[in-house]
Amino acid sequence: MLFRKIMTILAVGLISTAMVFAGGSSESSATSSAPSSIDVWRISNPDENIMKAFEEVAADFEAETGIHVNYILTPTNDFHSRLVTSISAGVYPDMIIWNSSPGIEFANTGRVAPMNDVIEEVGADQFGEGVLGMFTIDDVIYEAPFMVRPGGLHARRDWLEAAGYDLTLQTDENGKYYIEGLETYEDMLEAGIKITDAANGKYGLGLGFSRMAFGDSAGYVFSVLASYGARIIDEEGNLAIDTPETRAALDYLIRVWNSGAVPAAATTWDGNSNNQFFINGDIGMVFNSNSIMAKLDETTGCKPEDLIILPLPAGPNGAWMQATPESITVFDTDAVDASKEFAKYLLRTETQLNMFEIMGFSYYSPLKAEVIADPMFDDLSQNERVLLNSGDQYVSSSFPGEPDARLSQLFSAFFYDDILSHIAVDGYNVDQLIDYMEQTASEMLFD
Amino acid sequence: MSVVNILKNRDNPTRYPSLERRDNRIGIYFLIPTIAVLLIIVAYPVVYSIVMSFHRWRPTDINRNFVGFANYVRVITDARFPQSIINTAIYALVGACFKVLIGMGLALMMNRKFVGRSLARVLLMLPWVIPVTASVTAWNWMFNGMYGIFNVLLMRLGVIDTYVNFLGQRGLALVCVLMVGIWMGYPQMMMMILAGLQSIPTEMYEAAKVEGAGTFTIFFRITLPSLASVLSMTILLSIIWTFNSFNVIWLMTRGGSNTHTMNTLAYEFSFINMRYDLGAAMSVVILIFLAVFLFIYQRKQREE
Repeated sequence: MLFRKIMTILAVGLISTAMVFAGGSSESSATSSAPSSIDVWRISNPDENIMKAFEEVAADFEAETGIHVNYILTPTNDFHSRLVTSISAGVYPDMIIWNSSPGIEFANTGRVAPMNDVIEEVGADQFGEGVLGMFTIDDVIYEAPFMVRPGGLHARRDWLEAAGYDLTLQTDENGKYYIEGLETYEDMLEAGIKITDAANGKYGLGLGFSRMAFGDSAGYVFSVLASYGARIIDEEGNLAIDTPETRAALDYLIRVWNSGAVPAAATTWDGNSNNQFFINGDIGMVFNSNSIMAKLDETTGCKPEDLIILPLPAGPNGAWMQATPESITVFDTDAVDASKEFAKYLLRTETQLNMFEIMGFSYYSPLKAEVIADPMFDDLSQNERVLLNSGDQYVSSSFPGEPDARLSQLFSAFFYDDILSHIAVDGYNVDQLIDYMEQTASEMLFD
Repeated sequence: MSVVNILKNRDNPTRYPSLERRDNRIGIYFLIPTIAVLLIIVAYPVVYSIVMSFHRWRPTDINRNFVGFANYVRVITDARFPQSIINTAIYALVGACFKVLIGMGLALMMNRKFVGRSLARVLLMLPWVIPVTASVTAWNWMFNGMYGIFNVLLMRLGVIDTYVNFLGQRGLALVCVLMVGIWMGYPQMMMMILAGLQSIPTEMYEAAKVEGAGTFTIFFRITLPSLASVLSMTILLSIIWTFNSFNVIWLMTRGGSNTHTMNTLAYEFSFINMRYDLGAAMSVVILIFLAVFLFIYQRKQREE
């Protein structure tokens, strides 16, 4: 009797457990039984031409190899949290095309497939050393550089000219563009104050001082810190926050907020707000990837002819901008070979040129040397040339050191965004900001 | 089993259990799958979180070491922790009170017969029915510091002379998210109280009217006492639900402008800072707080 009871309980328990686990593992079993299909995560983009370019690549690839590409689109703001949740649940996508370096961030999980073989086949000389370096730890390449979303300082030509600026683009001895009087962050602040007309709802600087603006605020703060020579850890891996360079950068950020050139509402902006206000004609200057240009027309507050993209402003340590290239990360799933095939296909010169034919030079800019050298890119406008000219000033969140997963995580964890929130909402001074940075960084990096 | 055996064993309940006991046992067997599923989807995550909270556990690292109470110490000493408790208390208690008060007022209205009552009920239920992301987006737009409708209205009415940054100021931001939370939560309270109101026998009201009782007397002598048990349960449940609320705050401020509650802080630890261990420790702390309310709830239920 007792034996029968135990057997019944065991049987029911086993059936229930089997049912639950069968449901939970449906995805992985589907992957193993159908390796000719791959799941590719990438961000959803409202630009129809970009969507079309990716769809056509997938269709051509399927026609050539028989491997179906299933794009899983996720909004930028949710991408990171969804990825972390998914990976924690043991559900790894086959491939990710994104610009926040997930390969480096998750390198320690042991599930990121090295891309050395892919890069070897495509040709390492096709990419700048700095670009490949962003994705390499101990000679293992964890991500393949795909394209870059070129970032730049978008400004109102008409407002600046009215404020007395001569906007003639000039070239220095290194071939870098500059505009006199608008070369440094201090110049940018001065210009921002000059073109601000708060009484009429016009503000000079559109910088999100908010953690709602995932990526934008963090990217801006990081760029200022890097350009002033600040860094989080030194060559030995020790915390190196409290330096004159960091203090100068933080002092600059406080002065930007106190100048009144940034609208108070910037403390609640999301990632799209600053672009929208610029397009509406309320803001004079914004840092942005090249998504604004294509949205301007005769009906927008800012007309296409009003837009000028300024060369990146410099600090005492040069002009650096946090802009990790969009990369291809492949996870070590059952479909790793098929994913790598697709990665190689995406990196073909012919594929990329076809994509640029469809989507134009707007949101994406090429990284591969053969693509950049194509005649297609000879006849660019001044704004497009400025963007392309800034390519070697883009740096990752580990700059100036080697790629470091912890620093990548710090970037995603509102560490930089909260510097701006503490300035704008809590009124922190430089000492308080240093305390915040040291405490948070030390907990996140060394705990 | 033969009749002979039954007769043989009738005085020995351990060898031959009664029909009732046998029925109970069969019932238990049928319950086992449900219990197993509940254990897996409810108990397992709780136990898993507790285990996680005593380890160093990150999604980006496969190494997991036992660290004792270190995660709890780290969470409790976090600069945001005390504020998150204060905010949670304000959000849960003030939020619950307002939800019940507004729900009560509207339920009393909806309990009367008037032209358009059905339409009014539907409209009043809308905040509960509209998807949270859609309504929060609309509220964000209304609170916007540059073009929000509240700023435009207040400016035109002469109440303010410069636009107010509603969601970007300490204190004010919490009031705004609290308002939205109340707006979203009152319909549920209204429905629960309305159900309670409709269960009060109409004869009691008729008798009171015959005796000459006024509206206030009827409310305080009949309606309120009759609703006492419903109200106490509603308030308690509202506190528990509001305590657990996460989406409004996260969607409106992401915990910025000093609006972190314990739940948003736990989420931030886990999914933004990628410290599952700290998130788990924070969740266990939340569980302890909630256990108090659950205990009161259980006792009240047993009493009734």
